[in-house]
Amino acid sequence: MERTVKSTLAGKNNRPKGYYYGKTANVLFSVFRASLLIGLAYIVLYPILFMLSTALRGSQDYYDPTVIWLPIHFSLQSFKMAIELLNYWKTMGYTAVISIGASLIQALVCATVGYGLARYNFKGKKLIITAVILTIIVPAQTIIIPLYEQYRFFDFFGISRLLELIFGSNFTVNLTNTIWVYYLPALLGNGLRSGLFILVFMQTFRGFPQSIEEAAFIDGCGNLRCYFSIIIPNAINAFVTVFLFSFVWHWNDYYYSGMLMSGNSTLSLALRTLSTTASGVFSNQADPVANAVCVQAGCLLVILPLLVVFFFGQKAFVESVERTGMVE
Amino acid sequence: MTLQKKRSLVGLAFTSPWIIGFIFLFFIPLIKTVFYSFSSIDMGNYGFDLNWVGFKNYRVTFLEDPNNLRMIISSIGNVIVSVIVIVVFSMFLAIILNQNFFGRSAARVVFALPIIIASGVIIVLLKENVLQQNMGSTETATTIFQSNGVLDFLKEMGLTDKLVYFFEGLVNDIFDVVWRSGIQIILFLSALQSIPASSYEAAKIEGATAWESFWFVTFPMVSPFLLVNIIYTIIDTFTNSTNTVMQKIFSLVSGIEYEQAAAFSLVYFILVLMVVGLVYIIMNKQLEK
Repeated sequence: MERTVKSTLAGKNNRPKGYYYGKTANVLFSVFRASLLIGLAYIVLYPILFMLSTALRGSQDYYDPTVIWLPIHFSLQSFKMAIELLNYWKTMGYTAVISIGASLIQALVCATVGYGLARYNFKGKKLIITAVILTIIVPAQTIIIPLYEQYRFFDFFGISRLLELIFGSNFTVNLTNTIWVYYLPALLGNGLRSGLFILVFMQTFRGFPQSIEEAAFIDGCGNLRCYFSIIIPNAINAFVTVFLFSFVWHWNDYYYSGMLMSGNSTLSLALRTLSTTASGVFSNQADPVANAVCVQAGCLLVILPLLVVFFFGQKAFVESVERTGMVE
Repeated sequence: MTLQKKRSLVGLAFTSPWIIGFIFLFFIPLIKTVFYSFSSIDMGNYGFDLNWVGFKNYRVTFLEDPNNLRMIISSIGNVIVSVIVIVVFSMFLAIILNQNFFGRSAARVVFALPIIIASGVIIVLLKENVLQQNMGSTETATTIFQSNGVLDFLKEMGLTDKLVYFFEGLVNDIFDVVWRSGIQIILFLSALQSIPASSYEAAKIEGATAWESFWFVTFPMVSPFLLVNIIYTIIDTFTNSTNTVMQKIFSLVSGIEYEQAAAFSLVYFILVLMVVGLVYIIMNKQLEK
């Protein structure tokens, strides 16, 4: 832009001294920028390329040193194997139930809590906000053991103990290895990274003009109705962003599921043990490469739904921060 | 009931699910962890049976096994280095992605990709797999991308060995750095986009060079996000499940050594809190200036 201004002002023949220098520097910088970005993009895409290249290999290519990236014999054998070993469709269905359900609940509950913190004043609000931040900082590992105990011998927050005093028998329920391990904390606003989402919603609602609600109140709208029919529809962008992030984090989670779920019930867990499962199958052939190929196919299968979500929701991810109104 | 009182009750009602959840799913477990770390645990009929043992678990964890303390200290050192590297890198990349060039939106999508994959088990598996293959063929590799040329080049330049190894570590860790900067890049990018173009124009008219307009326009405008990013990165790095300390805690829990795991994670958490608090205080003072 400023270059054209300069050249029209100065004319072609008496360009300023640094003109050609500046132009060369610009071209050089573009080349530098392009090579840097391409190099870094290669690093980002490397795992996916590696998985694709490995998983599509036919068994003839396993020990062929000339095959580096492109396989000579394409084969979907490893995908079939991985689908079978992961028990893919069933496990994916269960993981989807956990991820979609928990993240929907989480988005709604975090929005409600965030709204309460953003719009209403009450005693102890500052304390609550500090506590929300504390839940973000404390690593899950610190409280995972008592949490395990809480879910293993779930007593409905003390009600079972009370009943036990009256009736004399044990009423605790084992919640581990059920979807409630995810649903219950989501319902109570303390799920996976809930603190972060509450802050996001709080910030979003603070950016809303107060006059919308005032108008609604004057028209005789109650608090709840105002929240559901005016606030939520206006915060749909923040909802989409929180839902997508929450979905991805639930889908990928293997720390909570490793502690609170057993066996191969979620995809992440099944994938973690896929190598062991596969080596049990391949043991008679004693082929470590076949095992690795199978694991890579499994990886692709596990992230495939995420890639689909990312592809359709890329705008929500890339512009997530602007959409939630974090930028003032 | 006054309107104010009513509104404060409604506000409490909106936050009540969180308060219940906080007490039962966070606060009580946290207090219990403190108790566990001072007890020996037996599995009871419903719940654990605790016996008070004083500081025994801490003694066993940190004095009888010297590796554990060393592990925590080296983990803090690693976190500090990687936080600086990740924040600087993501700011640099965000500035580049904010410029006008062909294929900019595609580039932004590519660099947002780690957000959906990096938190999962895939990266762990990928590293295991790639490293296994490398070990079979060439010399032992500890990271996915490795560069020996840079090392030689820096040595030729006459840098001291320590500096060379430092840079070597940075270059070899490029995979981890890029893969853990996804959210940070997005945060910085939106901060950059919120800077009005007129500030740059004003700076230009005043005769500021690009370097000066970075330090006097871009940097001050981005700095609130800098704090957010630094704290996010610290927490993310500390609680990353690939972290050695995290893996140690995981293995302690899997080995049903709950008491030691509780002591270990409590000490670790207090250190994390101290680091975060220290950074927050220092950064906040700098920002206020």
